[in-house]
Amino acid sequence: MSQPTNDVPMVNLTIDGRQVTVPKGTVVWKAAQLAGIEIPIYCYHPKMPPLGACRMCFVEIEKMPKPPQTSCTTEVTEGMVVHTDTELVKKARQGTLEFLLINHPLDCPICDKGGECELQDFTLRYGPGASRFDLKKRHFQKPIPVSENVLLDRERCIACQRCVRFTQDIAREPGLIMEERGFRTMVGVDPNAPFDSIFSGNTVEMCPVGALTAKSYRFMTRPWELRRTPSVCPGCAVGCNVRVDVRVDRVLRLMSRTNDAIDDGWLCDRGRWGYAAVNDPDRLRVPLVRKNGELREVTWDEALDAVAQRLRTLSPAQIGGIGSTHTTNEEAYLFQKILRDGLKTNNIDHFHGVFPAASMNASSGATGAMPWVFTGTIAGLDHAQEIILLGADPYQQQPVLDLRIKKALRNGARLTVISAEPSRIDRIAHRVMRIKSGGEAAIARTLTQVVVAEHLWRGTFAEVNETQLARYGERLKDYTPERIAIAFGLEAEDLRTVARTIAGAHGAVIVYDEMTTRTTGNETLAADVLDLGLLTDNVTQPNAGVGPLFSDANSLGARDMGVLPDVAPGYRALAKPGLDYAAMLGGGVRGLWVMGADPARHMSDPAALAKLETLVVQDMRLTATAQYAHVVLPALSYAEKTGSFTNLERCVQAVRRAMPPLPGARADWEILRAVGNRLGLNWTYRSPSDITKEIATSVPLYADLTREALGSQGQRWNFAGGREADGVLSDGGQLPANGSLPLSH
Amino acid sequence: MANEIIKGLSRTLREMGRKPTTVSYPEQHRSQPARYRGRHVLHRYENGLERCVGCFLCAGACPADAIYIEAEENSEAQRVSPGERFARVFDVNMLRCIFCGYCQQACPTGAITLEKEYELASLRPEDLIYHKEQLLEAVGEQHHGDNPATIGSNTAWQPQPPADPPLTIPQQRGTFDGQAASAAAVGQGNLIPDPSSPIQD
Ligand code: SF4
Ligand code: SF4
Ligand code: SF4
Ligand code: SF4
Ligand code: FES
Repeated sequence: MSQPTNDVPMVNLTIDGRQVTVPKGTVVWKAAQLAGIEIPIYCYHPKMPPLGACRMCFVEIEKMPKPPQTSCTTEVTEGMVVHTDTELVKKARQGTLEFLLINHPLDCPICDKGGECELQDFTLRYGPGASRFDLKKRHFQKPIPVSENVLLDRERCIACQRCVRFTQDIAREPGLIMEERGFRTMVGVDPNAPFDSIFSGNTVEMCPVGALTAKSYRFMTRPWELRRTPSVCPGCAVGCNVRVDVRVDRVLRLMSRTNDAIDDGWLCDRGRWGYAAVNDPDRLRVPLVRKNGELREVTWDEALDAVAQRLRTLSPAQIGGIGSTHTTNEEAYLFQKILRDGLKTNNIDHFHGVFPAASMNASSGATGAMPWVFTGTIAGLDHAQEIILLGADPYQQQPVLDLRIKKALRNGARLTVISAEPSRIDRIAHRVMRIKSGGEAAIARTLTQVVVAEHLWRGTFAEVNETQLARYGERLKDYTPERIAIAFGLEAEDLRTVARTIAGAHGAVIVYDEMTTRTTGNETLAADVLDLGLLTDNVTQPNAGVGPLFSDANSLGARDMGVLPDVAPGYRALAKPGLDYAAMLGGGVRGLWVMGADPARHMSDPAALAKLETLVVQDMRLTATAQYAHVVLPALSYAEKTGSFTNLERCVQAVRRAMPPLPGARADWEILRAVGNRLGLNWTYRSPSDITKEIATSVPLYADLTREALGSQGQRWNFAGGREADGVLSDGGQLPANGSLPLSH
Repeated sequence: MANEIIKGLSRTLREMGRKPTTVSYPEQHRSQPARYRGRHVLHRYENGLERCVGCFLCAGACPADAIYIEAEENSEAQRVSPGERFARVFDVNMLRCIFCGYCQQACPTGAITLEKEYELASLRPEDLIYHKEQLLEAVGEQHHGDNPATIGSNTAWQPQPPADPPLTIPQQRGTFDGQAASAAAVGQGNLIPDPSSPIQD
């Protein structure tokens, strides 16, 4: 995100003789950082408000009373002259460090932080050579668990309060507190509230010393033994940027890699510690082929020949493919290509939410017909005025988005939660409406009904379609607030208020969970919410946005790449749609090819899979589906291959190989290439980048993509050159492509 | 001419009276000088606990990347070393090792030293990756006394500590003995809270 340079005045100052220009309101520490000057800090954290507790960040500022000053709490002023290397500053820093070390155990050799510890580093760079303290140090029981995953070593705590401030102010979760005062100050667990936050790992990462450590990483390695690779978290559709830390052949931890536009520097525990599947000793290493009713280990050649031979004996209509929301874009693309080009079938799908009208008007690029796209951006949430969670629970499903919502609340947004199930964010929401499961679509329609009935519509789309709005209102006449309020036990007036605030807000964000659309009654939810957004101008407005929150790391990518029965990559409509997920599993095909999915989980009777003539499964483990397979091909995890994921706000990000592949297993794209060549497709892709290039030329949405362009922070795919950076989807004028309300039927 | 012959023979006769410098290996072994750096030995404390705390510092210092360690946590049921941490796996690849001795320099607990054993040969390379069981001295051998197996070249080549060294942290003994290095608490782990200390658990 760029600095809002237009409206914030700039300030000039001098630090150690260097001229620096920064926006007004910046603290001196940040200005020095921009100028490339290190000032040691403990309590300050760039993503949190300053506290000024540790007294480590001293600088001397000319013409300021009582030097030295703390640079983390002092804002820059015009013409300020700052020195970071005077004798006074050096002495002050040495004093602070000597105090910090008085009771520090210095068990660096067995401390998990040793090697990347700020107390070590700053003592080395700025500390005194010796201590004058020769009394006994205080000692505590070594680590005590503060949560299921986190241990606290109180001897090492330097009371910087980063952890407590993060949980209380950023995550707004209970659990950690500061205890006692003065030199006794230390971190403790709130006796009345367990520290069970899904964001607890962030406290481990931000603790400048080894006081808070992760159970899963305990004594696993030392930092200098790790190989670090920038990649993307595979945990959910937010797509937080991570650094994958690998020792030899095991992922040992994921650390955050700040991307202001997506994760804002945080990770959730599910992503951070969810690498067990990669290290799982039970992963498949050898291809399996069913012989005499039993899966037997065979060579790759034999297994691949078996796949090609089995698939060739079936006619196109008898074959189906189930793709994955966890594989890369490149693999999803190749999967649909092998089925469409090689096996001539459109029976392709994956497990996803229900979205009407899955094709877009390619010529106009109109967004109106793509209700599965969240029209806002994650960063746009920061300054949204109204946030409506309509059957969405980001804390559980897209956790880091929950932190974004909390940031928006700090910036003054109001939060309304409308859902069937209680969620953790309820307690800080401004309004909570409990409804019956499956009622989300009815609520959306009711809100739209109020907007139409009370003439609250606004924006280009509504103006262009004004003549039709009366007819539209007529269609919604059953959805009066009164009726719906009675049905769900709500207050009609509350519903009206919500509709009015959405219509009046400078940016309302209305989101639902992708999977909520699968509940009976919510089949039209996606379209209903988009209608509401269009009529209240919350699609094109800055900081607004409507749409689904997807579940998995590449849920949107799988759609974009056409792992759907009715569209080719880039949502180009197909004349003859194939069978969908349910139809294929319900006996519509005789041969099924499953890549990285476990459809048995969604079947009431998984044993029905045994009736298939051919079942090919590519996966890392012997999943429930793979138990029924005729051929099982061992695949690689995200950490062992290259590719890209598309997150829920259309940001395509590079996934990089972080460790050597598991011997015996192959990446899904390699498997597809090998089968493709056995089917006579003559594929010559040497690496995923070759597939990326093909996607860029054949999928309009991904037109400009190259691996280089993805860089370290990804790139968002565009609708018709929209004004992305402002949180705006596309030009208002382009929206009403066909001049009618396109979605609700 | 005759002169030369007499000269040569006299040399021969003189040398014939001397003891030869070669020994008839392998029946006989030569004793090693004090600073000799042979195969590593992992040491124990007097009470039988292992000195190594699995800190990886030797592996970090090793220029040849010859040491591989996996650490684990001590439990009350299974206490291997004092403190919280011990090395479950400790491999030294003698094929890579250049016998530089950096590992023993780096060790904060004096756990690893290069000793006098030099018979490191095998027809199979995998034999030359020494595992912890081979490197660790047997219980009862750890009395440093006269046992050459565990003295270590440490004492011989460690520079003598200054009489009044500046301490980075206080140590009760007040002198730098080349073993506790800068981490007095390493290997001591759960210290019993000191009754005189202001805060107790
Ligand atoms: S927190 Fe830092 S200084 Fe303290 S023991 Fe751990 S590594 Fe050493
Ligand atoms: S536990 Fe770590 S982050 Fe928390 S106050 Fe102590 S030193 Fe700071
Ligand atoms: S002696 Fe040198 S090369 Fe050999 S293990 Fe020790 S540090 Fe490595
Ligand atoms: S440096 Fe010493 S204590 Fe640390 S792992 Fe090596 S031998 Fe063990
Ligand atoms: S960083 Fe400034 S007082 Fe702590």
